[in-house]
Amino acid sequence: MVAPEDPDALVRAARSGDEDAFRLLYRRQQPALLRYLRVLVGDDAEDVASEAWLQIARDLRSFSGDWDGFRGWTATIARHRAMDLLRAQRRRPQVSAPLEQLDEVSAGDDTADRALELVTTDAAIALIASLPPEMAEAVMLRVVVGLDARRTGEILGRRAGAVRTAAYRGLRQLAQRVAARDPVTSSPGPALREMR
Amino acid sequence: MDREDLDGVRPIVLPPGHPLSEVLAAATAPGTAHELAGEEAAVAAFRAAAPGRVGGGSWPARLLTLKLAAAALATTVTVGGMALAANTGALREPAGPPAPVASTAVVPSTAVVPSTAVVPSTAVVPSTAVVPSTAVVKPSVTPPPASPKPTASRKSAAPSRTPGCPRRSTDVRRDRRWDRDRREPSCRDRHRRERRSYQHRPASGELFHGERAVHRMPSRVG
Repeated sequence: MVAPEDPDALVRAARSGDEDAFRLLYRRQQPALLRYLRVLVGDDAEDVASEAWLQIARDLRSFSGDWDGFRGWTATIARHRAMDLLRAQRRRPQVSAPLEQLDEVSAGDDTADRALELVTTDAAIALIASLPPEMAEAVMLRVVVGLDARRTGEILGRRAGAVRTAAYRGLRQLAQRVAARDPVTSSPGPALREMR
Repeated sequence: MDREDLDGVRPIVLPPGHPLSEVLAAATAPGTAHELAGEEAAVAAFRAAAPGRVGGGSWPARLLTLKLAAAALATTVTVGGMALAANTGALREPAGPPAPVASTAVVPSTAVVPSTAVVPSTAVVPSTAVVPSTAVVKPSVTPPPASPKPTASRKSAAPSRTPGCPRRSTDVRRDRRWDRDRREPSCRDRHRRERRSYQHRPASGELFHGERAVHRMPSRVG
């Protein structure tokens, strides 16, 4: 039995076919992948995550890398499946939505404000998802999935510097929104400036 | 809250009370049971993908298995279909192209040889036996594949001259059948020639068209 606190050993064991190790890897990585997918595809995130894990389970034995590599690899697979879904949705004929639904969709700031009233996991993801897409994706991969800038840039097809800038701007916008809701904590703190 | 910085070098610590600390803590909270609901399906997929399991293994092995299965299926269908066709009598027609009509027309003597081998070419035998009519000659050149016509059984019973056509008899019922069968084109042509040969018998030295053909054959000339 592999120690669950050593993710690199878990990856090695799962690559050699250890089912328990794979189960522990799933428990570690699935929440981050699912939340990342929620930012990308919304309510279809669970279906896309299921497809991604089918591919991960099938191809894990041919994967080579450690825990950091595993996180990047699984995020890449999840993003590809999400792009497949988005492309398929764009090919479908658009259904005309009633005006009431359009009003709900355009009220992004209100949704973010409602999310801040109760900071749960879903609310925090909804708040991040209200950012512009490049910033939201950079924040999710950097903060939630836990990738470094270089690996995030590989997934997004951008330079590490561009990823760093997008993540910083995204976090600053989030901090401003939170500060606007709570005037006691004013500007973004020094820790956020360090992240730049 | 410890974080690596964006370069992946320095840990970033959001101080307690920072406006984002609560949001990011919620975003990175441990997974809930609802989020982990697909665990068994993922583990089952991992188990199914294990090498050596049915349906698992590398893709070349699966591709080879599919090819073998397709070949086995094709063989079964072919052999089984032929056996079924043989049992049901669907193979009465020859499988290849039709019998070579041109060759039988060019070599009429070969058609006549089995029955008229002892007869000289200026035959007493009615000329119809030598006339290169493809319809008459063909059955004796090529071993006849079983014909779907009802005359097939009688054809083998008829010994000498007309493998395809019935002979007239005194039986009224058989004559009716004869009249019906002579409507077949080959038999009709043959009976017409028979009538002509009875009306006009050639003088000595006069050759019929078919006999000239026979005389041109090298074997007969030599």
